[in-house]
Amino acid sequence: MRIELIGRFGTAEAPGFEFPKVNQVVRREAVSVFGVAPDKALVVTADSSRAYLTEGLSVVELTDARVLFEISGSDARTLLAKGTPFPVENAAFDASACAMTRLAGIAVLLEPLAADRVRLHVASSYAQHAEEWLRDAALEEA
Amino acid sequence: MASQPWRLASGGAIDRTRTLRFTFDGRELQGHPGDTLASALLANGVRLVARSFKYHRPRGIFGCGPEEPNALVRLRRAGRAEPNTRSTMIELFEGLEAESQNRHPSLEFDFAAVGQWLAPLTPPGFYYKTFMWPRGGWPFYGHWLRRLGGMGTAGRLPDPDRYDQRYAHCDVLVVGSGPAGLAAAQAALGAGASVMLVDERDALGGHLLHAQARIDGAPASKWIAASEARLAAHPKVRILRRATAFGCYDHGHVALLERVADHLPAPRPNQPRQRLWNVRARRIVVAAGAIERPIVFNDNDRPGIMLASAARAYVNRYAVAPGRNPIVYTNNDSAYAAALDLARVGIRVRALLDSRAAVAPRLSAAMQQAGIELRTGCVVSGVRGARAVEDVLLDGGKSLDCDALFVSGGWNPSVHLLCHLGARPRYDEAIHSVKPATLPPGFHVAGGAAGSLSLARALDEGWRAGREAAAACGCTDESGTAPRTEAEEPCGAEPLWDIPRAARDGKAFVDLQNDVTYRDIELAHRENFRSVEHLKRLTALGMGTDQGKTSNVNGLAIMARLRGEAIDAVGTTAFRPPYTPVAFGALAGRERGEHLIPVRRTPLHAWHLAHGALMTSAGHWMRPRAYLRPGESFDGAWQRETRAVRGAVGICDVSTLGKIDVQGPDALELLERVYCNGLRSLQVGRARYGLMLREDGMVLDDGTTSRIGEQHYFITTTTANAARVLQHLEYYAQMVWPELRVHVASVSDQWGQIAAAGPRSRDLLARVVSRGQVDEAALPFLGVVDAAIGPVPVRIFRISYSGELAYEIAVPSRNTETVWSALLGAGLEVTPYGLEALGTLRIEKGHVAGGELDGRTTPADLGLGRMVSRTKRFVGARMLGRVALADPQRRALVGLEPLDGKSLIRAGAQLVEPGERTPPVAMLGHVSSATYSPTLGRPIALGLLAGAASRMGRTLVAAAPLLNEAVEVKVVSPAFYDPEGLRMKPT
Repeated sequence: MRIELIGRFGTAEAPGFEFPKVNQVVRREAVSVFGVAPDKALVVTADSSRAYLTEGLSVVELTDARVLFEISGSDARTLLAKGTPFPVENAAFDASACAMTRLAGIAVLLEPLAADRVRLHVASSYAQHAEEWLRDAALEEA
Repeated sequence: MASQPWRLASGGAIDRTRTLRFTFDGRELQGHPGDTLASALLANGVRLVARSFKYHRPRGIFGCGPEEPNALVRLRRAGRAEPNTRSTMIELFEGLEAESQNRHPSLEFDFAAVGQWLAPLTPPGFYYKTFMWPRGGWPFYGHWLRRLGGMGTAGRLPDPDRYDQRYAHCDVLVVGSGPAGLAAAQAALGAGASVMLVDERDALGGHLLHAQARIDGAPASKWIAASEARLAAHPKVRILRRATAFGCYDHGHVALLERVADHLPAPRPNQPRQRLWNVRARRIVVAAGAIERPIVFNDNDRPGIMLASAARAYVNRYAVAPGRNPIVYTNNDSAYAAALDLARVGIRVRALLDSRAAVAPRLSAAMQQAGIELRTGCVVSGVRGARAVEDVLLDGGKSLDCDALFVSGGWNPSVHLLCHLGARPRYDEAIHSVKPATLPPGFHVAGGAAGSLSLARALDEGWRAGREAAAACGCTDESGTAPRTEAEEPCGAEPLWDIPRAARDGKAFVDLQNDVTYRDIELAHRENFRSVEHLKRLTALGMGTDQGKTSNVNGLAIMARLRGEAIDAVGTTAFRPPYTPVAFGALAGRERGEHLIPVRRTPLHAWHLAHGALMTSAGHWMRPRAYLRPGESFDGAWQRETRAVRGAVGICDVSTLGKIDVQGPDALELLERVYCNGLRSLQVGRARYGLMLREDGMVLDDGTTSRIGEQHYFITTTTANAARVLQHLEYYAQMVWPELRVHVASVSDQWGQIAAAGPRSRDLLARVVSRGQVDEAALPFLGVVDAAIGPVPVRIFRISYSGELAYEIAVPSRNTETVWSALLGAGLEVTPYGLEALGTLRIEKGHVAGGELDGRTTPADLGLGRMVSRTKRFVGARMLGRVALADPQRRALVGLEPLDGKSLIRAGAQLVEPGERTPPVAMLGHVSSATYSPTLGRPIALGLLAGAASRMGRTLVAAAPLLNEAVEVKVVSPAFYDPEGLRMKPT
């Protein structure tokens, strides 16, 4: 899996890449594109060809900078609500959305996959902290 | 004594089929599920439960809820011991252990009670006035005053329990589940809103739980049950019981404390004891009810004196007789219901005393029918009895015997939550109390909290508030109908502010929790503490955990009387969060112990731990201080590591450095504007040291900028300032110069980074590099090359922090340990070195770091003034030109050496002239970094010194008065080692 932060310097300069709105996700086959800021998108892909790249984009590789956790189960969102001020339990926060927010005191990207499944993107240096926090917070529901 | 002799034979919402055992001050007692500790104590005939705050007077149970000012106890044992818990809010459980507090040595025989006889010597603020001599005596006085006064003491053992935190969001948050709250929640839900309903009790219903009322033609209990069932079944509703809304903050933020397991002997495994909820609500309906007001008369704190509504609750909900021969004393109609409920269960009510000259015929008829003597126009001046009420003294001299006195001076709306955002309630003549004058944005209020004291109005207002709150959220469905009850007469209170003359010279308490009497307020007035805010500070009226729940309005009214003004004119004090005390554990949640702050680990963390590293925290990061070999001391380890770098080669994990990727056609332009040094001449494949300034001209951070492509730069920051620098760049790129086509991204986590330093570092790299060249021609000083070590692509920078020939190798994080191991296995003697050696190496070299980049230094102060470009504009340039910054007396970087060549210099020590010992001593500067230099064989330090140039070579003293240390030091150049820089650039 490859993770890249893609940016454009104005719409005219990178016409071939579809930037999602901020906090929205566009999924196409093996590529998920997260709108993380105006004119910036995070691409998570298993497509080694990187065919989605066009001219006029800035590209920063972050594959090693992120660790992904997947939290599943009926209490998955309850667990996350223990650590994030984002309304993660809101039904409107579905697989078409994402959120750059904080959890357990660190910056995270929340990626809801289903009502009972959420993926968490965490900076790799905080991965152990996030895992320990998740395991501890999950004890009540275990 | 028979078990529970004061328990009524029937009634109540307790489970009589089960018996719970508990202890109070070691005495074994019994109660039932459904009891509170207070009701169980009353059922067992325990009347004396506490000693008062200041005078250690005997106190009993006064209320039945969070307003309880007297009956505070220490609950549980060992690490779970918690002081100052309200016995009225503690649900009884098997094995509960409670102890009275603030008594010496026992509740029955408290020698500190002598304080009440010394009261004339201890008026409010007496310690400010009397304990002034000798000057140094206060620690002694303070120690004893704190021991004799106050409340419970916190335990010192670790708390074994878990505390949880939770965020929640809703359209409408309803605080309080009495009639107004239940109506509001149903109305809001019916309109289509998502609803959160919270109540501090274990059961919904509020005052209805204690009363005999009918709603929608049925007993209130049925309406409560039906309402609860309807709400609980709906997916858009969340109901929290045992949860207190203790604070309201901006933007619809309400903090709740849920007592998850406080009603259990101990939490179940992994169950939190308490949970702190941070709720964001679009609208908030405060339906927190009202608190009955006491009446001020002499000795009105005696055990057996209780709020009439509390007496009613003990009878109706807990089936406990709070007295067998009680008197009810009131100025309003609500106490009549209490008297009737007492009579209904067979308690002989001795009399009902009403201060009003006349009452409604229906009330007198009801009293007559119940066999209760009614005396109107009757004012109580005091009571007799030391540890329990024995007689009530009437103004005029007569007395009536009794064993309890239930008082009702009217009702105070619970306006606390509404005041947390700054609103001040105003006095309302209609209810003789304060009520909300204006509401904070997003708030609604209904029922008792709004000053509406009848059930019919509470239901009606609650329903309306729920509908309005939902409508404000865009929910306008109209399903459901407002609940109805029979019309009621108004409460009919008449003010009772005039204190009987006989009570004015005695102990007539206004604030029971803080032991504030009528005389105290009178004294405050005489001493010109006439403002209610001054009154509060002098006397403690309404302060602390109580927040004036029962006392504030009486206190304000008395001060108004003394000032000869209307109550409204004296104003009110502020009610502050928390409404009731909150355990620190709940506030901390999971942020305790090793998880106090998030921990950041480098890609080499596991390797460090496996190889004897002594770790330390640096901000969020965990870093190795030194790698201790078996039997080696810490000092031995880092000094060995330092020598290894100077003599051969060492490697250091510098992954914590901030790393920022800057790309775009205008990348150079952005960097030119934020760095004070020029970068236009920087070629691809080259790096440059740079300084970034704040807008005020002070150094923000230092680091390197490497050009790795025509429009692509890689900059490093110090570990401490990584986030700040990124924020600085993002701010300028997005907000100040949005026209620049540039993107900035943190790649700190993408790259691990390893420093290889020492005269043999080039040999080391040459052995491991599988692609690319590291010789002088290919990689000169401040050069950058892309290369590979084994199969791992890396980027190598020829930069030096240690002053030696050195490199920094950036490695994709996941491969960092592979490269680290390759370096160690290269066939040279390679020494890993930690933070301590890293710091020593840079101090020897005179490089600045966090101690010098303290936000108060300019480039010139650090000896780096020559780096500042005179030909371009950059952030901080304008302020850097201030005349004051060119003052030669500004503190500037110097080196310091001990005169004796061996005394360690303390970082943080102040630099003063020798011989100056008598304060005030002129402080000329301070020691910013210090170490022992294994290379030089003596301690050295860096400092920031006023008039540095003129003091070069002079002797000063580095004084650390708190440690009683003073070291004579010589001011020298900060470049202790290789000042020419030859070792970084060997030929």
